[in-house]
Amino acid sequence: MKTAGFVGLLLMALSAQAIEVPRSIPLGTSDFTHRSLGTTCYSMDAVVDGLPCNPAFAAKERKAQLQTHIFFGNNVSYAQDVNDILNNQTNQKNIEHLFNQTRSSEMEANVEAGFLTEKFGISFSPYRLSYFSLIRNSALPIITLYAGQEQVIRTQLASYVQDDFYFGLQLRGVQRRFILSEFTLTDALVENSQEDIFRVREQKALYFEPGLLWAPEEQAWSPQVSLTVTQLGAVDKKYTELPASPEAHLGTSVKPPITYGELELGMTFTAQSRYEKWTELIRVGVSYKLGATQYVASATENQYDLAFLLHYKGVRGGLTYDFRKFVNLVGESDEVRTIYSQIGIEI
Amino acid sequence: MAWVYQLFIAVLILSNLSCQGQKAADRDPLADSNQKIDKGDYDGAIAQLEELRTKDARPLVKSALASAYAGRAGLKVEKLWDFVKALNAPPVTEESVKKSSVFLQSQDVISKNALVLGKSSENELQQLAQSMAAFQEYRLKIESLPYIPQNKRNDLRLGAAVLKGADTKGAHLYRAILNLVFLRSELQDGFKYWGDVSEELKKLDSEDRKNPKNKQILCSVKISEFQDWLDQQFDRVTDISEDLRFSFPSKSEEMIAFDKSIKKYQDEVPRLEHTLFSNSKECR
Repeated sequence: MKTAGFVGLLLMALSAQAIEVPRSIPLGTSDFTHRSLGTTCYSMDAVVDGLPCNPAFAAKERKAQLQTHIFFGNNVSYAQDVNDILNNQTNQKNIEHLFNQTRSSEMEANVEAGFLTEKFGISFSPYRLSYFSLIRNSALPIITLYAGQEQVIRTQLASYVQDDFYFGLQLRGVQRRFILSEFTLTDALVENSQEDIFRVREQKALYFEPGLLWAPEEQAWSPQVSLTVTQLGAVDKKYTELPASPEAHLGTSVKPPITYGELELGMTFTAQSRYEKWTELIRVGVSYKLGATQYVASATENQYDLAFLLHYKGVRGGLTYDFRKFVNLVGESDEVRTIYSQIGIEI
Repeated sequence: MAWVYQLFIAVLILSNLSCQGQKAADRDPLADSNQKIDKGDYDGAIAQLEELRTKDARPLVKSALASAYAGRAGLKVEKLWDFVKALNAPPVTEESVKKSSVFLQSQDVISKNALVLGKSSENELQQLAQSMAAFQEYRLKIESLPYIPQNKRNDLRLGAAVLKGADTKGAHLYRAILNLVFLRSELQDGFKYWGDVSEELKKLDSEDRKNPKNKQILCSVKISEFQDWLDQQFDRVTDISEDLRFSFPSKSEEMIAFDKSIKKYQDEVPRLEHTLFSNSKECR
């Protein structure tokens, strides 16, 4: 019965149709940890900022901390377009900007403040912007456009269960305003195009995201095995173009003892609904901390991230270099490189 | 702990089940056609989209098909960006027509050879000169549009035909653009022909009306075909205006005024039995 109940809940969250927008854009989290470690953050201790990706890790937290951070990519110029579009102030300049791209573009920006203490964490993001566009058909450009603005509140509760097992639950409330539309250049240029193609939609979502962690103490390499389920929840309005099928992240990590600094290696397998090759579902990550510096890298089939972070008296700043390979519109292998920056304060 | 494993297995199974379903749903033939257009395989895209439009009513299917025809004709809408931004109907007034260089130059040649032409042919030519002068305003406005050679223009016509009676404003605007490119190309050819006619008329011997060279020159002017061609261009302008009115409702009045002004010149295109020129009795 219990399994049937879970299946029912999950089926409610699934949708028959998919969109061409990468899930991480409308549904993901924009911060340094998620960007640099990717899905390996669900299994590693190397949290750079904010709440842990897997809520069960909150049970291991020993000190209280208050954090704020600003996160943005080098393509932050799209932020103005997102604002204009979502506030029904789309103008010729925005449209020109959209259609002057030659391939897919994406942007994320986020402001977040959070408090984390033993077994409990809370964070609030009053302003997360995300943007994605894909252009096809050189004879008459057709654009798939997602532009979203969100407020996100996350609460994590965690506890030690038994036999080195920890359990945590994240409740994530999201209020999003977004447009998701597919239209031609001429559709965008006609009078009152905003009414037809830049129709702003709203959605409130509540996600229940449980996490489990097995972390035996007193082991030389501090091995950990974790399981996190994300995107499991309910929405007030269901949009077929914006499906939210759940994902499960099964991961492991170790901390090989070294003379200088702290090294952590992690690997995560993600069960998700959209992928081309199974190798895309596996991601490996590494974090090395030495004094005030931290170096992070993670990689999967078509993507890798390299990050550098500097901590200094509660202030931290970092850069992430993101490289992604993809098959472009004419079926050729193409690449996109983005640099993300983060500035944060920790008290 | 059993429920945790149950949860994981359920998520795993459902994720994979949904994966199969979503991948099947993702295979949008329209995306495939767009990819063909991006690769320059217009024939393949046209074949695919002609079939698709019989069973898929999405406006984007028609627009993609029209764009495939336009692409085969050599037209890419990205080249039209500046033009689209400045899109509006040019004013055509009696004054602008009379001041047009096309009208003034033609008038000069016609009046100089009035005696050779005779009253009837002089009138015909004057009215044609006015029509050409009316188009001159339009021509200057759309000169920045690309020229499509005559042998490829049929694809533009087919693209515009696909979008006739379309439901969306964007499709009407695209149809207007295709017709404008067609018009721009036709006008370039038409003005060249008009220029050739003017040059020929300059060779008339106004001193000796009976000079056999005069008859030879006048009989070489294909006036009837030229009038038919002008009629087609006037109809095309009306068609463009209708599409633009649909796409920009607030400009309706401006477009209607423009329609009226251009219609005036269309109505004045001579319909007389020609006394001279290639299809007259004298020349046959």
